[in-house]
Amino acid sequence: MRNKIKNLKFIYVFYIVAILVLIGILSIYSIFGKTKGYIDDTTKNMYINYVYDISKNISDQIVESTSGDIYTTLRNDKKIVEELEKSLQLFVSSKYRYIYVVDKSSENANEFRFLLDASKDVDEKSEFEELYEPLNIKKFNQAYENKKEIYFTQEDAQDVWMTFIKPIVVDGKTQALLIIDFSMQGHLLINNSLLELDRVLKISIFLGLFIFFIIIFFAYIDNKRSKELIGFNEKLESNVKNEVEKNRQKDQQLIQQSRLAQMGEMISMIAHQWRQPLAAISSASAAIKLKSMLNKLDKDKAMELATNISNYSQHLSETIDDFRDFFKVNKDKNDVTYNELIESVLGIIEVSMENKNIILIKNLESKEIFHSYPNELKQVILNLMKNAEDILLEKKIQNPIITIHTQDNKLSICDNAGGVPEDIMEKIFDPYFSTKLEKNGSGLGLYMSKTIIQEHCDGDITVKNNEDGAIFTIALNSQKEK
Amino acid sequence: MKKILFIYLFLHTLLNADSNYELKLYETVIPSIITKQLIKVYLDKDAKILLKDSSKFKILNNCDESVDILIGKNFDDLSNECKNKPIFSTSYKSFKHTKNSFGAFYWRKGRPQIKFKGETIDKFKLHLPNSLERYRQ
Repeated sequence: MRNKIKNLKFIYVFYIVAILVLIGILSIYSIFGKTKGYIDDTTKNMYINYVYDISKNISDQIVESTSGDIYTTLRNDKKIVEELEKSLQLFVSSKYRYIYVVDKSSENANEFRFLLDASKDVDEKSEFEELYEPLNIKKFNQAYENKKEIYFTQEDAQDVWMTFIKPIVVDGKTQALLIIDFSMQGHLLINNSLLELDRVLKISIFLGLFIFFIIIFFAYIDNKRSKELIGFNEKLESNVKNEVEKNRQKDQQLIQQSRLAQMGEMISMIAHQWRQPLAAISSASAAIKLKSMLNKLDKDKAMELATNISNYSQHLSETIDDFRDFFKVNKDKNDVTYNELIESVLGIIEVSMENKNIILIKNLESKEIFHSYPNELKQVILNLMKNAEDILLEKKIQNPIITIHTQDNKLSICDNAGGVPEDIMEKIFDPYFSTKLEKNGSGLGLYMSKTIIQEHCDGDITVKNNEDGAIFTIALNSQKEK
Repeated sequence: MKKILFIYLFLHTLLNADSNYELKLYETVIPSIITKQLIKVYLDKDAKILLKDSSKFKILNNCDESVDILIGKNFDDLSNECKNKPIFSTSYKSFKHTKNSFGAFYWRKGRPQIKFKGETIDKFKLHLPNSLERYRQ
């Protein structure tokens, strides 16, 4: 669930970042568009304003020189024409190609006629009154009629030229037009650079958009896959849970079987424990009966036999308590020593072993105190001893011996039944592995012993062989170590 | 059709200001005025460069009786007999000051100019098509 939320958060953050990047790119492009327009207008106006200023000065000079009657004065006085043309020539350069003045012979004339021409080239220079029909004659007529400056571009292969037309107005009447053809190359260069930048930005935006949509698409696919994976994982988790539950139930059944088997063993052990006191009780009872029949039962004897019977009964009751305590589930940790554990286990099993002629050797050297679960440890020790007993009986060993040895934090239980075969040595702690299948072994004894020692008691249990038989060793962490 | 082609070529020439189109303009305008199967042309030095690739004119190296039209701006060295032929000028000066110049095509302030003199056209009994009438002076 946390991963799911984490994935979702990541996806949303990713989407937001992608959208912000997109908005950023579009904003940059929008700002660039406005700036481009501003630069374009500014450079263009810079050129035009300069030409406007020049044209105004020239126009004023012409009006002043001709005393307000331009055509008549220029026609009659060639000297003024020469002077004015020389003035105009001062402005002619590679950037200001043509500067000339034209007028109309009449209001309705279709053509204009040259009055002044700043051209120095003989072939290019027009003659006074030469008729002239410009390509954009409508613009010329428009300026003539409206008495307002006008400018327009005329493109050729190499350059952009702009034509600026200034009407020379005297007493509210247009007397002539001053025309200046000037280069907009600087503006064109800036404009071309801006257009190039614009193209690059457009390509970037296109690529950005393309990448954005690709990323969104893959994020969508990835999200879809993640959802499918989460669903699959949930299903898998559910299946695993079901299987684990099935196994747990199976374990429970096997543990139940194991408990039933242990109960059987317990009953067997109780029977062994009870046999002697019951025989003693029976003997005392028979003595009372016999002496009573022979009228030889005196008060003291009766008291002695009754006390014996009471003591034996008490012993039987204690035996029951011992067994009950032994198998009682106690979830509290307590301080315990190996000696206490072994004494408790032997109290249950010792008689049974003596009856089976098994020699029990105790070599108890450990004085360590362990803070652990005594009942669980007792079950482990009991299990190991019962296993030793079983194998000794199964192999019909002549002088069966079980040795219990404790030293420091270690407890070893050895037998002389020949040891664990090497090929099964690694498997004997596995669940459901048993060499006692014919005797209904559950295969859980050693597995549970290992689980108890390793997981509950924080210790370890190992097995190895010596020349006589198997040695199972329990190692617990003592109080000192903790 | 011819008129449409003429206007197209004329405008195309004006707008592009390219010598190749100038050649096409000459090849369209002159045959529309001098209606002969094969027009024999005598050119001055500059016009020879302009019209050297023409396939519609027969360009003569010597100006003789058979010449139909002179194209150029400087024919001062020619014989009087040859000067009496109709002339199509390539400059305003030649157009204005040459007696037999009936028309001209030249550039003025970067703009193409085409002009025809009504009197000279009538003198040589030439035919000015309607599409060029507006350029008559």
